[in-house]
Amino acid sequence: MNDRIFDVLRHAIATQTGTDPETITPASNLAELGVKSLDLVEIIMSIEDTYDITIPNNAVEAWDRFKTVADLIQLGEEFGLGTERP
Amino acid sequence: MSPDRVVVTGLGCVSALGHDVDKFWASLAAGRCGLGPIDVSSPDMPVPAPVKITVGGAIPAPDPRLLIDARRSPMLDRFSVLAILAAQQALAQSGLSMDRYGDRTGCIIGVGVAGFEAIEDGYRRLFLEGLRRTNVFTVPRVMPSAPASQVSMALGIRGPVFGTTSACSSSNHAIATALWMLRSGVMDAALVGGAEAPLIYGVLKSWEALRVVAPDTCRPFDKNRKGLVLAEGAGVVVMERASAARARGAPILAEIAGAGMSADAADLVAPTMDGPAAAIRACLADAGLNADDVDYVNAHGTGTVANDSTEIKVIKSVFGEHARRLSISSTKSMHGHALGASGALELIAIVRAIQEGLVPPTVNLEQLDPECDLDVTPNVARERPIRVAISNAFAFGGTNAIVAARRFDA
Repeated sequence: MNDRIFDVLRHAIATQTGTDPETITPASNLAELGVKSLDLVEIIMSIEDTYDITIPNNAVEAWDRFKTVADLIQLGEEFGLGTERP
Repeated sequence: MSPDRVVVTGLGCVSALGHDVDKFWASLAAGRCGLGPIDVSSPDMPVPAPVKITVGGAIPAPDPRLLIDARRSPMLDRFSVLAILAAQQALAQSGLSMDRYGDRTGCIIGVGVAGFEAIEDGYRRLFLEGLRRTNVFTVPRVMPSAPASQVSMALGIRGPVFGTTSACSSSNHAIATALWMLRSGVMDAALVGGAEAPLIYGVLKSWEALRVVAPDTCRPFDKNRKGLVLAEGAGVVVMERASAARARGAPILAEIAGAGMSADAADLVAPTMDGPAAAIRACLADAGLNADDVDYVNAHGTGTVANDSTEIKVIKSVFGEHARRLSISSTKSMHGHALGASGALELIAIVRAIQEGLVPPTVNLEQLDPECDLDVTPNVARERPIRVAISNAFAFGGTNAIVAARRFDA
Protein backbone atom coordinates (compact mmCIF):
# COMPACT_ATOMS: atom_id res chain seq x y z
CA MET A 1 0.00 0.00 0.00
CA ASN A 2 1.16 3.48 -0.83
CA ASP A 3 1.39 5.66 2.28
CA ARG A 4 1.62 8.93 0.41
CA ILE A 5 -1.58 8.37 -1.52
CA PHE A 6 -3.26 7.21 1.69
CA ASP A 7 -2.23 10.37 3.47
CA VAL A 8 -3.55 12.64 0.70
CA LEU A 9 -6.78 10.67 0.54
CA ARG A 10 -7.25 10.62 4.29
CA HIS A 11 -7.06 14.39 4.46
CA ALA A 12 -9.32 14.86 1.43
CA ILE A 13 -11.95 12.60 3.03
CA ALA A 14 -11.61 14.31 6.39
CA THR A 15 -12.05 17.73 4.79
CA GLN A 16 -15.11 16.63 2.85
CA THR A 17 -16.85 14.82 5.69
CA GLY A 18 -15.66 16.63 8.80
CA THR A 19 -14.22 13.35 10.14
CA ASP A 20 -11.07 13.20 12.29
CA PRO A 21 -8.34 12.05 9.81
CA GLU A 22 -6.72 9.90 12.52
CA THR A 23 -9.79 7.65 12.60
CA ILE A 24 -9.58 6.86 8.88
CA THR A 25 -7.83 3.61 7.88
CA PRO A 26 -7.48 1.85 4.51
CA ALA A 27 -10.20 -0.55 5.62
CA SER A 28 -12.65 2.26 6.42
CA ASN A 29 -15.95 2.01 4.60
CA LEU A 30 -16.59 5.27 2.72
CA ALA A 31 -20.34 5.31 3.37
CA GLU A 32 -19.73 4.74 7.08
CA LEU A 33 -17.38 7.74 7.08
CA GLY A 34 -20.32 9.81 5.82
CA VAL A 35 -19.15 10.00 2.21
CA LYS A 36 -22.09 10.44 -0.18
CA SER A 37 -22.06 10.00 -3.96
CA LEU A 38 -21.04 13.56 -4.82
CA ASP A 39 -18.60 13.80 -1.90
CA LEU A 40 -16.75 10.95 -3.57
CA VAL A 41 -16.53 12.92 -6.82
CA GLU A 42 -15.21 15.94 -4.90
CA ILE A 43 -12.60 13.73 -3.18
CA ILE A 44 -11.45 12.28 -6.49
CA MET A 45 -11.29 15.78 -7.97
CA SER A 46 -9.20 17.00 -5.04
CA ILE A 47 -6.73 14.21 -5.88
CA GLU A 48 -6.74 15.46 -9.47
CA ASP A 49 -5.98 18.96 -8.23
CA THR A 50 -3.22 17.76 -5.90
CA TYR A 51 -1.44 15.78 -8.62
CA ASP A 52 -2.54 17.88 -11.61
CA ILE A 53 -3.93 14.89 -13.46
CA THR A 54 -7.31 13.89 -14.88
CA ILE A 55 -8.96 10.74 -13.56
CA PRO A 56 -11.82 9.61 -15.82
CA ASN A 57 -14.86 8.87 -13.66
CA ASN A 58 -18.48 9.75 -13.37
CA ALA A 59 -20.50 10.21 -10.24
CA VAL A 60 -22.66 7.12 -10.59
CA GLU A 61 -19.91 4.70 -11.62
CA ALA A 62 -17.58 5.96 -8.91
CA TRP A 63 -20.22 5.31 -6.28
CA ASP A 64 -20.61 1.72 -7.51
CA ARG A 65 -16.91 1.02 -7.74
CA PHE A 66 -15.31 2.60 -4.67
CA LYS A 67 -16.52 1.26 -1.35
CA THR A 68 -13.48 1.60 0.92
CA VAL A 69 -10.46 3.86 1.31
CA ALA A 70 -8.32 0.98 -0.01
CA ASP A 71 -10.33 1.05 -3.27
CA LEU A 72 -9.32 4.68 -3.74
CA ILE A 73 -5.67 3.94 -2.92
CA GLN A 74 -5.74 1.31 -5.63
CA LEU A 75 -7.20 3.87 -8.05
CA GLY A 76 -4.31 6.21 -7.24
CA GLU A 77 -1.78 3.43 -7.80
CA GLU A 78 -3.32 2.73 -11.20
CA PHE A 79 -2.41 6.30 -12.10
CA GLY A 80 1.11 5.89 -10.75
CA LEU A 81 0.59 8.33 -7.93
CA GLY A 82 2.61 8.47 -4.75
CA THR A 83 5.94 7.64 -6.34
CA GLU A 84 6.85 11.32 -6.13
CA ARG A 85 6.00 14.11 -3.79
CA PRO A 86 2.91 15.95 -4.98
CA MET B 1 -69.47 11.64 -5.20
CA SER B 2 -68.03 15.15 -4.93
CA PRO B 3 -64.26 15.33 -4.68
CA ASP B 4 -62.71 15.55 -1.27
CA ARG B 5 -62.10 19.04 0.11
CA VAL B 6 -58.49 20.10 0.68
CA VAL B 7 -57.41 21.65 3.96
CA VAL B 8 -54.34 23.24 5.50
CA THR B 9 -52.95 21.54 8.60
CA GLY B 10 -49.56 23.18 9.04
CA LEU B 11 -47.74 26.43 8.26
CA GLY B 12 -44.04 27.29 8.15
CA CYS B 13 -42.01 30.23 6.91
CA VAL B 14 -38.74 32.11 7.07
CA SER B 15 -38.81 35.71 5.87
CA ALA B 16 -37.62 39.26 6.39
CA LEU B 17 -40.11 39.28 9.27
CA GLY B 18 -38.35 36.49 11.16
CA HIS B 19 -37.73 32.78 11.39
CA ASP B 20 -41.24 31.44 11.97
CA VAL B 21 -44.95 31.97 11.32
CA ASP B 22 -45.67 33.54 14.72
CA LYS B 23 -43.10 36.28 14.10
CA PHE B 24 -44.35 36.69 10.52
CA TRP B 25 -47.97 37.09 11.59
CA ALA B 26 -47.15 39.32 14.57
CA SER B 27 -45.43 41.73 12.18
CA LEU B 28 -48.27 41.63 9.66
CA ALA B 29 -50.83 42.25 12.40
CA ALA B 30 -48.78 45.13 13.81
CA GLY B 31 -48.05 46.65 10.40
CA ARG B 32 -44.31 46.32 10.90
CA CYS B 33 -42.17 46.63 7.76
CA GLY B 34 -39.26 44.17 7.54
CA LEU B 35 -37.51 45.95 4.68
CA GLY B 36 -34.25 47.78 5.26
CA PRO B 37 -30.69 48.41 4.12
CA ILE B 38 -28.91 45.48 2.48
CA ASP B 39 -25.26 45.18 1.59
CA VAL B 40 -24.02 42.29 -0.52
CA SER B 41 -20.46 43.59 -0.83
CA SER B 42 -17.71 41.46 0.66
CA PRO B 43 -13.98 41.97 1.11
CA ASP B 44 -13.52 38.45 -0.36
CA MET B 45 -15.40 39.35 -3.52
CA PRO B 46 -14.26 42.51 -5.28
CA VAL B 47 -16.84 43.56 -7.85
CA PRO B 48 -16.38 45.84 -10.85
CA ALA B 49 -19.54 47.87 -10.28
CA PRO B 50 -21.36 48.61 -7.05
CA VAL B 51 -24.99 47.56 -6.60
CA LYS B 52 -27.40 50.48 -6.74
CA ILE B 53 -30.14 48.48 -4.99
CA THR B 54 -29.60 49.18 -1.30
CA VAL B 55 -32.98 48.20 0.21
CA GLY B 56 -34.28 44.67 0.54
CA GLY B 57 -36.04 42.12 2.68
CA ALA B 58 -33.19 40.15 4.24
CA ILE B 59 -33.81 37.44 6.82
CA PRO B 60 -32.62 38.69 10.23
CA ALA B 61 -29.93 36.93 12.28
CA PRO B 62 -29.19 34.15 12.99
CA ASP B 63 -28.15 33.03 9.51
CA PRO B 64 -30.64 30.31 8.50
CA ARG B 65 -27.75 28.16 7.28
CA LEU B 66 -26.59 27.80 10.86
CA LEU B 67 -29.92 26.15 11.71
CA ILE B 68 -29.44 23.33 9.19
CA ASP B 69 -27.71 19.98 9.74
CA ALA B 70 -24.06 20.85 8.98
CA ARG B 71 -23.54 17.63 6.99
CA ARG B 72 -26.36 18.63 4.64
CA SER B 73 -25.27 22.25 4.23
CA PRO B 74 -22.69 21.90 1.38
CA MET B 75 -25.39 20.39 -0.84
CA LEU B 76 -27.83 23.24 -0.28
CA ASP B 77 -28.13 26.57 -1.99
CA ARG B 78 -29.74 29.20 0.21
CA PHE B 79 -33.24 28.74 -1.25
CA SER B 80 -33.13 25.05 -0.29
CA VAL B 81 -31.98 25.93 3.24
CA LEU B 82 -34.99 28.23 3.60
CA ALA B 83 -37.38 25.65 2.13
CA ILE B 84 -36.22 22.96 4.58
CA LEU B 85 -36.62 25.26 7.59
CA ALA B 86 -40.14 26.27 6.51
CA ALA B 87 -41.11 22.67 5.74
CA GLN B 88 -39.87 21.43 9.14
CA GLN B 89 -42.13 23.96 10.88
CA ALA B 90 -45.17 23.12 8.76
CA LEU B 91 -44.71 19.38 9.22
CA ALA B 92 -44.29 19.78 12.98
CA GLN B 93 -47.52 21.77 13.29
CA SER B 94 -49.46 19.28 11.19
CA GLY B 95 -48.21 16.29 13.19
CA LEU B 96 -48.06 14.28 9.95
CA SER B 97 -45.71 11.30 10.34
CA MET B 98 -43.58 10.60 7.27
CA ASP B 99 -42.75 7.13 8.57
CA ARG B 100 -46.44 6.36 8.38
CA TYR B 101 -47.74 8.57 5.54
CA GLY B 102 -44.59 9.41 3.50
CA ASP B 103 -45.59 7.23 0.50
CA ARG B 104 -48.87 9.13 0.10
CA THR B 105 -47.35 12.58 0.69
CA GLY B 106 -45.96 14.85 -2.01
CA CYS B 107 -43.82 17.98 -2.07
CA ILE B 108 -44.24 20.78 -4.62
CA ILE B 109 -42.12 23.90 -4.17
CA GLY B 110 -42.27 26.91 -6.48
CA VAL B 111 -39.06 28.67 -7.45
CA GLY B 112 -38.80 31.82 -9.54
CA VAL B 113 -35.40 31.14 -11.03
CA ALA B 114 -32.75 28.86 -9.51
CA GLY B 115 -30.03 28.53 -6.90
CA PHE B 116 -28.18 31.79 -7.36
CA GLU B 117 -25.30 31.28 -4.91
CA ALA B 118 -23.90 28.32 -6.84
CA ILE B 119 -24.33 30.06 -10.19
CA GLU B 120 -22.42 33.10 -9.02
CA ASP B 121 -19.76 31.05 -7.24
CA GLY B 122 -19.27 28.89 -10.36
CA TYR B 123 -18.87 31.84 -12.71
CA ARG B 124 -16.51 33.54 -10.30
CA ARG B 125 -14.29 30.45 -10.18
CA LEU B 126 -14.27 29.99 -13.94
CA PHE B 127 -14.11 33.55 -15.23
CA LEU B 128 -12.40 35.50 -12.47
CA GLU B 129 -10.24 32.99 -10.62
CA GLY B 130 -9.33 30.88 -13.65
CA LEU B 131 -10.07 27.59 -11.87
CA ARG B 132 -10.49 24.45 -13.97
CA ARG B 133 -13.77 23.33 -12.44
CA THR B 134 -16.80 24.35 -10.48
CA ASN B 135 -17.84 22.84 -7.17
CA VAL B 136 -19.20 19.32 -7.63
CA PHE B 137 -22.49 20.39 -6.06
CA THR B 138 -23.13 23.18 -8.60
CA VAL B 139 -25.74 21.33 -10.67
CA PRO B 140 -27.71 19.87 -7.74
CA ARG B 141 -27.59 23.21 -5.91
CA VAL B 142 -28.75 25.30 -8.87
CA MET B 143 -31.59 23.15 -10.18
CA PRO B 144 -35.03 24.74 -9.63
CA SER B 145 -36.33 21.43 -8.29
CA ALA B 146 -33.67 21.41 -5.56
CA PRO B 147 -35.85 22.85 -2.77
CA ALA B 148 -38.56 20.25 -3.42
CA SER B 149 -36.13 17.35 -3.63
CA GLN B 150 -34.08 18.54 -0.64
CA VAL B 151 -37.23 18.87 1.47
CA SER B 152 -38.24 15.36 0.42
CA MET B 153 -34.81 13.98 1.41
CA ALA B 154 -34.68 15.90 4.69
CA LEU B 155 -38.17 14.87 5.80
CA GLY B 156 -38.69 11.47 4.11
CA ILE B 157 -41.44 12.49 1.66
CA ARG B 158 -41.80 9.68 -0.89
CA GLY B 159 -44.82 10.62 -3.03
CA PRO B 160 -44.91 13.05 -6.01
CA VAL B 161 -42.03 15.54 -5.62
CA PHE B 162 -41.17 18.33 -8.07
CA GLY B 163 -40.70 22.08 -8.47
CA THR B 164 -42.90 24.54 -10.30
CA THR B 165 -41.61 27.68 -11.94
CA SER B 166 -43.44 30.72 -13.28
CA ALA B 167 -41.42 33.69 -11.97
CA CYS B 168 -43.42 35.62 -9.37
CA SER B 169 -46.43 33.29 -9.44
CA SER B 170 -44.41 30.07 -8.92
CA SER B 171 -45.81 29.44 -5.43
CA ASN B 172 -49.38 29.84 -6.55
CA HIS B 173 -48.83 27.43 -9.43
CA ALA B 174 -47.43 24.97 -6.86
CA ILE B 175 -50.45 25.43 -4.57
CA ALA B 176 -52.92 25.07 -7.46
CA THR B 177 -51.18 21.95 -8.75
CA ALA B 178 -51.17 20.39 -5.29
CA LEU B 179 -54.84 21.25 -4.80
CA TRP B 180 -55.89 19.50 -7.99
CA MET B 181 -53.63 16.50 -7.37
CA LEU B 182 -55.03 16.12 -3.84
CA ARG B 183 -58.60 16.35 -5.13
CA SER B 184 -57.78 13.72 -7.79
CA GLY B 185 -56.66 11.30 -5.10
CA VAL B 186 -53.12 10.66 -6.35
CA MET B 187 -51.82 11.72 -2.92
CA ASP B 188 -53.31 12.37 0.51
CA ALA B 189 -51.06 15.18 1.71
CA ALA B 190 -48.39 17.51 0.39
CA LEU B 191 -45.83 20.02 1.60
CA VAL B 192 -46.37 22.92 -0.74
CA GLY B 193 -44.95 26.40 -1.11
CA GLY B 194 -42.11 28.41 -2.55
CA ALA B 195 -38.55 29.48 -1.88
CA GLU B 196 -36.24 32.19 -3.17
CA ALA B 197 -32.96 33.79 -2.13
CA PRO B 198 -32.22 36.57 -4.63
CA LEU B 199 -30.21 38.99 -2.49
CA ILE B 200 -27.01 38.17 -4.35
CA TYR B 201 -24.75 40.48 -6.36
CA GLY B 202 -25.45 39.23 -9.89
CA VAL B 203 -29.18 38.93 -9.28
CA LEU B 204 -29.43 42.43 -7.86
CA LYS B 205 -27.52 43.76 -10.88
CA SER B 206 -30.04 42.01 -13.15
CA TRP B 207 -32.97 43.61 -11.31
CA GLU B 208 -31.17 46.94 -11.34
CA ALA B 209 -31.18 46.73 -15.14
CA LEU B 210 -34.97 46.31 -15.18
CA ARG B 211 -35.46 49.64 -13.36
CA VAL B 212 -38.44 48.38 -11.37
CA VAL B 213 -36.86 48.29 -7.91
CA ALA B 214 -37.68 51.06 -5.42
CA PRO B 215 -34.79 53.11 -4.02
CA ASP B 216 -36.62 53.83 -0.74
CA THR B 217 -39.15 51.19 0.26
CA CYS B 218 -42.20 49.30 -0.99
CA ARG B 219 -45.30 51.57 -1.08
CA PRO B 220 -48.09 49.69 -2.84
CA PHE B 221 -51.05 51.82 -4.02
CA ASP B 222 -49.25 55.03 -3.01
CA LYS B 223 -49.23 57.91 -5.48
CA ASN B 224 -45.45 58.12 -5.06
CA ARG B 225 -44.66 54.41 -5.26
CA LYS B 226 -41.34 53.78 -6.94
CA GLY B 227 -41.22 50.05 -7.44
CA LEU B 228 -40.88 46.69 -5.76
CA VAL B 229 -38.41 45.65 -3.05
CA LEU B 230 -36.72 42.28 -3.45
CA ALA B 231 -36.74 39.88 -0.53
CA GLU B 232 -35.65 36.39 0.40
CA GLY B 233 -37.79 33.79 2.09
CA ALA B 234 -39.66 30.52 1.97
CA GLY B 235 -43.15 29.48 2.90
CA VAL B 236 -44.41 25.91 3.10
CA VAL B 237 -47.85 24.68 4.10
CA VAL B 238 -49.14 21.16 4.67
CA MET B 239 -52.16 20.56 2.44
CA GLU B 240 -54.25 17.45 3.00
CA ARG B 241 -57.39 15.78 1.78
CA ALA B 242 -59.98 16.69 4.41
CA SER B 243 -60.91 13.03 4.90
CA ALA B 244 -57.29 12.08 5.61
CA ALA B 245 -56.79 15.02 7.97
CA ARG B 246 -59.97 14.18 9.88
CA ALA B 247 -59.08 10.49 10.05
CA ARG B 248 -55.84 11.25 11.89
CA GLY B 249 -57.36 14.00 14.03
CA ALA B 250 -55.18 16.74 12.54
CA PRO B 251 -55.58 20.46 13.34
CA ILE B 252 -57.47 22.05 10.41
CA LEU B 253 -56.52 25.70 9.92
CA ALA B 254 -58.46 26.55 6.76
CA GLU B 255 -59.64 25.09 3.48
CA ILE B 256 -57.92 25.68 0.13
CA ALA B 257 -61.15 26.28 -1.76
CA GLY B 258 -59.93 26.74 -5.30
CA ALA B 259 -57.34 27.97 -7.75
CA GLY B 260 -57.25 29.53 -11.19
CA MET B 261 -54.60 30.14 -13.81
CA SER B 262 -54.27 32.12 -17.02
CA ALA B 263 -51.67 33.77 -19.20
CA ASP B 264 -51.67 37.26 -20.71
CA ALA B 265 -49.95 36.15 -23.92
CA ALA B 266 -49.06 39.80 -24.43
CA ASP B 267 -46.15 41.89 -23.16
CA LEU B 268 -43.22 40.47 -21.22
CA VAL B 269 -43.54 42.85 -18.28
CA ALA B 270 -46.53 45.18 -18.81
CA PRO B 271 -49.62 43.64 -17.19
CA THR B 272 -52.94 43.26 -19.00
CA MET B 273 -56.40 43.33 -17.45
CA ASP B 274 -57.84 40.35 -19.27
CA GLY B 275 -55.28 37.78 -18.13
CA PRO B 276 -55.43 38.48 -14.38
CA ALA B 277 -59.22 38.87 -14.49
CA ALA B 278 -59.57 35.51 -16.22
CA ALA B 279 -57.42 33.86 -13.55
CA ILE B 280 -59.49 35.32 -10.68
CA ARG B 281 -62.72 34.24 -12.37
CA ALA B 282 -61.29 30.76 -12.94
CA CYS B 283 -60.34 30.58 -9.26
CA LEU B 284 -63.83 31.57 -8.08
CA ALA B 285 -65.41 29.06 -10.46
CA ASP B 286 -63.05 26.29 -9.30
CA ALA B 287 -63.96 27.05 -5.69
CA GLY B 288 -67.68 27.28 -6.43
CA LEU B 289 -67.72 30.83 -5.08
CA ASN B 290 -69.59 33.95 -6.09
CA ALA B 291 -67.68 37.23 -6.22
CA ASP B 292 -69.55 38.51 -3.16
CA ASP B 293 -68.42 35.53 -1.06
CA VAL B 294 -64.92 37.04 -0.95
CA ASP B 295 -64.03 39.31 1.97
CA TYR B 296 -60.27 39.83 1.57
CA VAL B 297 -57.94 40.07 -1.41
CA ASN B 298 -54.23 39.74 -0.69
CA ALA B 299 -53.08 41.69 -3.73
CA HIS B 300 -50.08 40.97 -5.89
CA GLY B 301 -49.40 44.62 -4.97
CA THR B 302 -45.74 44.83 -5.89
CA GLY B 303 -45.51 48.59 -5.58
CA THR B 304 -44.64 49.15 -9.23
CA VAL B 305 -46.54 51.90 -11.00
CA ALA B 306 -47.93 49.54 -13.64
CA ASN B 307 -48.98 46.66 -11.40
CA ASP B 308 -50.95 48.37 -8.67
CA SER B 309 -53.28 50.57 -10.73
CA THR B 310 -53.91 47.74 -13.20
CA GLU B 311 -54.63 45.31 -10.36
CA ILE B 312 -57.22 47.66 -8.85
CA LYS B 313 -58.91 47.95 -12.27
CA VAL B 314 -58.90 44.15 -12.54
CA ILE B 315 -60.50 43.78 -9.10
CA LYS B 316 -63.20 46.29 -10.05
CA SER B 317 -63.90 44.46 -13.29
CA VAL B 318 -64.21 41.03 -11.61
CA PHE B 319 -66.01 42.03 -8.41
CA GLY B 320 -68.17 44.89 -9.72
CA GLU B 321 -70.05 46.69 -6.93
CA HIS B 322 -68.73 44.21 -4.36
CA ALA B 323 -65.19 45.58 -4.95
CA ARG B 324 -66.06 48.51 -2.65
CA ARG B 325 -66.89 46.10 0.19
CA LEU B 326 -63.67 44.10 -0.14
CA SER B 327 -60.71 44.50 2.13
CA ILE B 328 -57.55 44.57 0.01
CA SER B 329 -53.92 44.75 1.10
CA SER B 330 -50.41 44.13 -0.11
CA THR B 331 -48.38 42.35 2.55
CA LYS B 332 -45.35 42.76 0.23
CA SER B 333 -45.12 46.21 1.85
CA MET B 334 -43.86 44.30 4.93
CA HIS B 335 -42.19 41.05 3.77
CA GLY B 336 -41.07 42.38 0.39
CA HIS B 337 -41.27 40.61 -2.94
CA ALA B 338 -39.78 37.19 -2.44
CA LEU B 339 -40.44 36.31 -6.11
CA GLY B 340 -41.14 32.57 -6.33
CA ALA B 341 -41.79 32.44 -2.57
CA SER B 342 -44.24 35.34 -2.42
CA GLY B 343 -47.38 33.33 -3.06
CA ALA B 344 -46.53 30.91 -0.26
CA LEU B 345 -45.91 33.71 2.24
CA GLU B 346 -49.17 35.32 1.14
CA LEU B 347 -51.09 32.05 1.51
CA ILE B 348 -49.86 31.91 5.09
CA ALA B 349 -51.02 35.53 5.47
CA ILE B 350 -54.56 34.77 4.27
CA VAL B 351 -54.86 31.57 6.32
CA ARG B 352 -53.85 33.47 9.47
CA ALA B 353 -56.11 36.40 8.49
CA ILE B 354 -59.06 33.99 8.25
CA GLN B 355 -58.16 32.34 11.57
CA GLU B 356 -57.73 35.65 13.40
CA GLY B 357 -60.45 37.71 11.70
CA LEU B 358 -57.85 40.37 10.98
CA VAL B 359 -56.89 41.95 7.65
CA PRO B 360 -53.16 42.79 7.60
CA PRO B 361 -52.50 46.29 6.27
CA THR B 362 -50.65 47.85 3.38
CA VAL B 363 -47.90 49.82 5.13
CA ASN B 364 -45.72 52.73 3.99
CA LEU B 365 -48.86 54.28 2.49
CA GLU B 366 -48.70 58.07 2.71
CA GLN B 367 -50.82 59.32 -0.17
CA LEU B 368 -53.28 56.98 -1.85
CA ASP B 369 -53.06 56.93 -5.65
CA PRO B 370 -56.47 58.18 -6.91
CA GLU B 371 -56.35 55.29 -9.40
CA CYS B 372 -56.24 52.85 -6.46
CA ASP B 373 -59.47 54.05 -4.85
CA LEU B 374 -60.58 50.86 -3.08
CA ASP B 375 -60.07 49.90 0.58
CA VAL B 376 -56.41 48.88 0.54
CA THR B 377 -56.26 48.76 4.38
CA PRO B 378 -53.78 51.62 4.79
CA ASN B 379 -51.11 51.20 7.47
CA VAL B 380 -53.28 49.65 10.22
CA ALA B 381 -54.74 46.13 10.35
CA ARG B 382 -58.52 45.89 10.37
CA GLU B 383 -60.66 43.46 12.39
CA ARG B 384 -63.19 41.82 10.15
CA PRO B 385 -64.62 38.29 9.99
CA ILE B 386 -63.20 36.68 6.84
CA ARG B 387 -65.04 33.77 5.24
CA VAL B 388 -63.04 33.69 2.04
CA ALA B 389 -59.76 35.29 1.02
CA ILE B 390 -57.94 35.12 -2.29
CA SER B 391 -54.27 35.70 -3.05
CA ASN B 392 -53.24 37.13 -6.42
CA ALA B 393 -49.99 36.46 -8.27
CA PHE B 394 -49.21 37.98 -11.66
CA ALA B 395 -45.76 37.35 -13.05
CA PHE B 396 -43.39 38.68 -15.68
CA GLY B 397 -44.12 36.66 -18.77
CA GLY B 398 -47.83 37.08 -18.11
CA THR B 399 -48.31 33.92 -16.03
CA ASN B 400 -51.15 34.47 -13.55
CA ALA B 401 -52.27 32.20 -10.71
CA ILE B 402 -54.80 32.83 -7.96
CA VAL B 403 -55.63 30.75 -4.89
CA ALA B 404 -58.66 30.98 -2.61
CA ALA B 405 -58.78 29.98 1.07
CA ARG B 406 -62.00 29.54 3.03
CA ARG B 407 -62.70 29.38 6.75
CA PHE B 408 -63.11 25.73 7.64
CA ASP B 409 -66.32 24.98 9.45
CA ALA B 410 -66.26 21.30 10.24
